[in-house]
Amino acid sequence: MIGGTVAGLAVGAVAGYYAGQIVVPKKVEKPSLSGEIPLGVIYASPMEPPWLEPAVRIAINEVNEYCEILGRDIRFTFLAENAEESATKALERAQSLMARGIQAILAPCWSSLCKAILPTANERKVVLVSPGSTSPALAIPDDYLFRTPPDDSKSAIAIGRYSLEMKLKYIIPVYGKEPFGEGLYKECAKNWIARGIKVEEGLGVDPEKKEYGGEMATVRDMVVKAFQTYKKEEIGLFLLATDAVLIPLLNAIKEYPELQQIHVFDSDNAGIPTILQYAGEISARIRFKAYRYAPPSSPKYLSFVEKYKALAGFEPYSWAVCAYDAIWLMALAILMADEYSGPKIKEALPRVAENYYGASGWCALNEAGDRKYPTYEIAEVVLEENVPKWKPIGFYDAITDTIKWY
Amino acid sequence: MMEILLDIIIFFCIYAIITLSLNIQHGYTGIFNLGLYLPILVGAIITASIPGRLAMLIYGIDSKLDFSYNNATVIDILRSKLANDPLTSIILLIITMLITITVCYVLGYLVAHPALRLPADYLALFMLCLSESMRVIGMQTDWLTGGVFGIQVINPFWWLGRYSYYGFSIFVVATALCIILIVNKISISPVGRLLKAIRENELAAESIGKDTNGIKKQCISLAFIILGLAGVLHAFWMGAVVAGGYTRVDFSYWPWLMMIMGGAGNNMGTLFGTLILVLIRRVMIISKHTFSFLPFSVVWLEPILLAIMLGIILTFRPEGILPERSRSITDYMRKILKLQ
Amino acid sequence: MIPLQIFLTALIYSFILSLLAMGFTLQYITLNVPNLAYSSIAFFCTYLPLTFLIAKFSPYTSLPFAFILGGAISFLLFKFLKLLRERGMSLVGLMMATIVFDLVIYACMNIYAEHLSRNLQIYAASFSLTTYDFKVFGLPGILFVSAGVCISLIMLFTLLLLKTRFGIAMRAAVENYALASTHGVDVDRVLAIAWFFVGGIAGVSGALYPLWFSMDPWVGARMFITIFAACVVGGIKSIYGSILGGALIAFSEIFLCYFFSFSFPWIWSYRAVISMIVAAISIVIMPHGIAGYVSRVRERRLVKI
Repeated sequence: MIGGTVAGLAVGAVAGYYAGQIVVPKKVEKPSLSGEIPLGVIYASPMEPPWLEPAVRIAINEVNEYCEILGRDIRFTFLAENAEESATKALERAQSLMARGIQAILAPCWSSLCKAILPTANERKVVLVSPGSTSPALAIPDDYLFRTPPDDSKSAIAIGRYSLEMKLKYIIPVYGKEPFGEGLYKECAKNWIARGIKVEEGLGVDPEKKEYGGEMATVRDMVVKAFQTYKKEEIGLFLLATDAVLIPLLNAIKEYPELQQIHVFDSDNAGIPTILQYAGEISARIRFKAYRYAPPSSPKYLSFVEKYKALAGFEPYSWAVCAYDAIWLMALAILMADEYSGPKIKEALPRVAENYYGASGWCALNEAGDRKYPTYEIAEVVLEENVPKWKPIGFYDAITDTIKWY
Repeated sequence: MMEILLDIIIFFCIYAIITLSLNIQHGYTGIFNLGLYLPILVGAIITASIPGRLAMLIYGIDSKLDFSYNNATVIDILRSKLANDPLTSIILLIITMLITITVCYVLGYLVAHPALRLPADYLALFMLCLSESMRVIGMQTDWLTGGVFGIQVINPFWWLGRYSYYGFSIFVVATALCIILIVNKISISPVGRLLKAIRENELAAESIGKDTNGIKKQCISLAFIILGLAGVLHAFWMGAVVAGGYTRVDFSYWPWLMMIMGGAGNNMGTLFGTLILVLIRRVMIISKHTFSFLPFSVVWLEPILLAIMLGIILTFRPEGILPERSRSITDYMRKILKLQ
Repeated sequence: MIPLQIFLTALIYSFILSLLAMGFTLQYITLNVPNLAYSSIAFFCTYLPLTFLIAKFSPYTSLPFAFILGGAISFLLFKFLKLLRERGMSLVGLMMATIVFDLVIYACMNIYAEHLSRNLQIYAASFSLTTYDFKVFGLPGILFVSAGVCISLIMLFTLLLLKTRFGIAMRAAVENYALASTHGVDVDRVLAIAWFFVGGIAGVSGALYPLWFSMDPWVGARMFITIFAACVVGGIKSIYGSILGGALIAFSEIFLCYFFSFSFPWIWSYRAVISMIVAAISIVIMPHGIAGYVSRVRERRLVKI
């Protein structure tokens, strides 16, 4: 009897214990990550901080407020370095950050600098997120580089669609021999040919020379020859370069009336104020058009623009918006992984991005870690009260491959 | 901490090699060369162009893939192959170095031939022009070094897995040590004394029957070989070659400052100067944030501090921290006869 | 038919380059030290027309100030080199000393460009002032101004050298420093003024540059090679030779590229190499440049006579 009682009590105790586990949920463990978490930032050029840093600061402040609301004892900070436009310095700076234990870095906007840092980042398993690199050569699956802007192959599709809509039949590309211009030219050439547009062999110009009167003379000769086969409105002159090269190219067009009669177009420089400042008159005269990767006009984007303008004094460029989202993505991935470790951040980041709608729009990434669904705005330089201004004229949607004209 | 140390060691070794070759040229022979980055860039270009393509041939990788244009894909494939093939990796490394030595030797000879006809300052600027030309050509030529994009290179130590960086570090240190030993041997040998004699009084050296022009050509060729090897090491260290990154400030002015600070004509002084400046640069990189109170970006502090250091050394200690020891005939006699 | 733009570019480039080459050569022959900071001094002054434009003045009004600024920096550099030379510094050391100035000027240029970008929202990392130039009969004003400045500075300099006591003293000092001082010439003062003048020429050339070309803080470093090439081709010890060298380099760079571009359009991206190749060939064939060749021909004729 005693034995039975004891046995019964034992069975009851065990059953009660497990029943209790089901009825009373297990206490959730407190997340282990806490303290100060530094993120690295590497600017590509000494001229970048004025327009990129405000975006980084806004993102860091908001992320810290978010952690406070969550009751997490975490504070994100950032350590900035500058690559000074040098691949060697970019690597040196990146190594210096990695050696200080940084596991996630806002990588430079330049593809050539990202390329220099990437082998080391892969080796040391440190996540890089670039807000400006777009070279398809860096669209590598399963590496440690993620990019919030779309790569050039997407831009090329958009430019191809634009060319079709403008009914262009013959295109002369002039590109700066720099990572941005040359990479985009190669992608665009493929796309134009696929869409049945005749493409002249691209004219590469030395981006360091900064004066292109002679080069434009060669282009003029090509255009004059093309007039024999095509109408003026069917000929396009595509200038694929950063604004530092684009401005002298536009100024060189002033001396060639033939070039002012055809369609002159560019990519990624829409909205840039320096074009209005230093080549506004000629741009307005030829109704120069350009694309830029542009976020959809959401309340989140508008809120970011207001904060940015209050801090910087001018409107943010699209790479600044991408930088803001890049910081958010890194921070959310760290919080999700609950560990400040490169491999964990690398695993978490694509999942975070899939569900993150940022100031730049939906940040879902493709298998190469680059933005999946870009949107582009098309703008034109016009004169308003004798002052050159950028005027948006259309919006390109990558999902449907269509342009909506305003 | 280990990684910081390794980075500093590798950086120091590469710059030690560069400054030692400069010491042979200028410290010993009195050849004023401002275009050090010509052979360094050639070494880097060879590293970018040859081992990767050779590896593609060895493994029969799809010929439709272009090493330059499809660089990322090719490097990915080669990584998986070479990670399991240490023998091929080492052979590729040796071949790269041998080709660099050959090409740089010939290049040094070809460049020296017209250059040595010029007075010292012309020669310096002539070499600078050639280096800058090479840099522009490297930047504009896609198939060579990926043009402005640059190109990723193979890592001959992938087979060491996660210890590949350590393996590479050991290799760099070993190479630097070999070069230091060779240069030291040259400097204390009759050849070294001959080079100094040419530096001190070329006419006197010629009058005793020495072919000073021929010796200077050999000196430049040797220096080019050493610089080319520095370029190979630098390219492997970076994991990529971006031709535009080889600038005169980083690969000419800094080595000159290192040599002048340490003491021209003295190998130990040169190495000492290199070590000090590498450490100062690292300290500047790490601690520059403490200067954030300045009304300008701290990025510009580096050239200003470099200029101040150079100015102070030139004004107060132009012979360097460890200047060349001048030896008297008695010193040499004692050494030869092994007298006390 | 060669487009007018090609001629315009070549002409404007040659005027500016000739002035720069002349200044570089003059500084070289006074102290026998190539001034590696020379182009930095010139291109530092390109920020003056931009500053004047921001202050709502015409960029051309900055020219006298560019002369003074360039001259002042050059004067300081001369004093520094003189101090080192008195301490027995070698040629190599003196060239390294010019690098000190080069680095400081480079940093100052970038700091100023950053200040303009950050505080005034004027993007100064890369700018061009061609839009703000005036036109004369449809031609850009910079063509006439650069021609006028180049010709008048050369004539002024020639008058100074040949017709003034200062010029005679300067020629004596350049020819033989010690002998000139024994004849009562205050050599240091003469050379200091010469360096100020040359620095001023550099400043003015720099100030004219952005009115046709695009400018960024790294142009100085790149142009140094072209300036040296111009001096070498013309004759590094001849002032008039280097003026000719500047014109030759400018025209060969533009025209060679233009003519080759019909068959090889990619040649434009190698434009920077043209001047270096021309200089390298010149060094091999005519180490003393065109001026050296001309004076040898003259000597041979005199000998024959």
